[in-house]
Amino acid sequence: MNLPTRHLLAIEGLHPPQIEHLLDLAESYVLLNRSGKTQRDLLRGRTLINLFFEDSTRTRTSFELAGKRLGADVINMSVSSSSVNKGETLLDTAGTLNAMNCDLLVVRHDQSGAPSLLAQKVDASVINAGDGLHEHPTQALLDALTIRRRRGRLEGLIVAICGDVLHSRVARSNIHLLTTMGSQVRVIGPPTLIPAEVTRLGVTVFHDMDAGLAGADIVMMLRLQRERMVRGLVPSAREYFRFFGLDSEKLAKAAPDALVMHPGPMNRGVEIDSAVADDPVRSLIREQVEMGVAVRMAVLDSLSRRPWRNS
Amino acid sequence: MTDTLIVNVRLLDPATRLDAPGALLIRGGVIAHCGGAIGRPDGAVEIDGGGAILCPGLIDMRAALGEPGYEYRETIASAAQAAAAGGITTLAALPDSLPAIDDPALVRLLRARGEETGSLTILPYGAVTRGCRGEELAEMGLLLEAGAIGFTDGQRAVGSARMMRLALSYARGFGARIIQHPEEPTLAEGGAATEGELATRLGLPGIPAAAEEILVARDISLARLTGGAVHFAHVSTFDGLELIRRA
Repeated sequence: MNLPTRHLLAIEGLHPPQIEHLLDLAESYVLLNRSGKTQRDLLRGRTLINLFFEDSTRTRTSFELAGKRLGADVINMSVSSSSVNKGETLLDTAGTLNAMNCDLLVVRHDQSGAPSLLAQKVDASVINAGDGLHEHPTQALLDALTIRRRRGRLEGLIVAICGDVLHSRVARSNIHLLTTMGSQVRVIGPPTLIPAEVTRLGVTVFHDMDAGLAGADIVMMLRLQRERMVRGLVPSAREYFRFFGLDSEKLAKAAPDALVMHPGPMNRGVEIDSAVADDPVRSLIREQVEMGVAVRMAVLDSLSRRPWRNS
Repeated sequence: MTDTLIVNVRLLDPATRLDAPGALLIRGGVIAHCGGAIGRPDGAVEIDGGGAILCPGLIDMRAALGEPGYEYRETIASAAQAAAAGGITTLAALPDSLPAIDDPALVRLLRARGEETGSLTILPYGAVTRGCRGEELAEMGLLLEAGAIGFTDGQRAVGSARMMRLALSYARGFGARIIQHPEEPTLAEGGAATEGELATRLGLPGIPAAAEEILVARDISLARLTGGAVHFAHVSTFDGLELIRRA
């Protein structure tokens, strides 16, 4: 089962068998990682460049580990995007990387569409590690793997995605993946943080946590960035926490065995209460991180099985 | 508690379309009966209304109280006396006081201060923006929980289109309404009367009718965009009314 292109730029457009293939492959890497073994011959001699125009610790480390466990030579490049003319520099960077014969290019950028633009200009396989407000495909895959391992399926589950949906690429990728796989997706947040016409993506919108969480199997919390408050979309952290922060009382409205997820890093006391975040039974937050490495190994593996270069 | 019978009054009750001369009997602190002719029960105190109107307490839905901040002008106690003299038993208080009613504790305080008067129910509006300055949203959810009945910046318009959009959108999530002072602030600044012949004769700085029309038209568009609810506190121009009628 091949991916539609040699890149992974978005979840939107993937079909259920392609998603299932990646999840099955990731499942095998979970077992490999837990056994303490590696598979260093798979990407031996290949070069993976982590090109990050935006700060990241978790995702970059996860890709780095995934690449190294498969035997690739991994190089991290952090580029400040604020001080330079973005469009021109991005193309310059593409030219430079192409000259280095890089094989796998993992890109994070604060502008939606930047990885797609790079993909048109380089010979490497481009993996989107988060672009602006657009998509974060490997996060959605790792979330799906985490859910599938716990619930055995994605189809028919009620998944509530709560918080700053407007600015969240994690939310967009998850919406595409989960609706494609037959989950019922709800988004919950104040109207100022819900994007226009989001129902067209196949979700139901709620502005009240109690109503939106009722009967939910999975509760996915999103990070609320402080700058959203500065921009005036939310009056204060205490009001946000009162109405949209996940605490035990609100979680009690969800299904009795509902599980809690968060892409990290968390703002405790803003979007999530510590008692919920650290609940060893309900919280999957640590498990998500473990699944992240396995999913990224699966993506690197899958892309490496395609005819490698334009020739 | 003794019964009280009020006779010789004009009974008015819009809810039941009642408008007739008659009497009203109060028993145990509640209205027991009202109508054309009521016999006086034994021991009841009788009051002659002298033909005055007897009606449900009036509600002033937009009152700028002097308290807090301008007690030299008016206190809640003096406002309660004035209200009682005019038949007003409930008053919706604007939040552009000093400090502005932008904190849940202040909403609770105003409600409590009303109860202390014994005659006046105060229903506080919450501020749309902090300090009614038009720059950042106030904590509408917490204000509602504390007992705010709606949101307005009082006698100041929410001037920024972006802020009004956010306010309408955010308030919608809580099912709340924004009450707007419909006057484009940069056009209205410094004005005292509608711009025109009379203002010219009296030498008063004018406010063009367009100041109202622009804000009414803008906020109708923003209400459509956000699905939010807007109420215009006062409309004084023909075109403003037409815009609302067509909306």
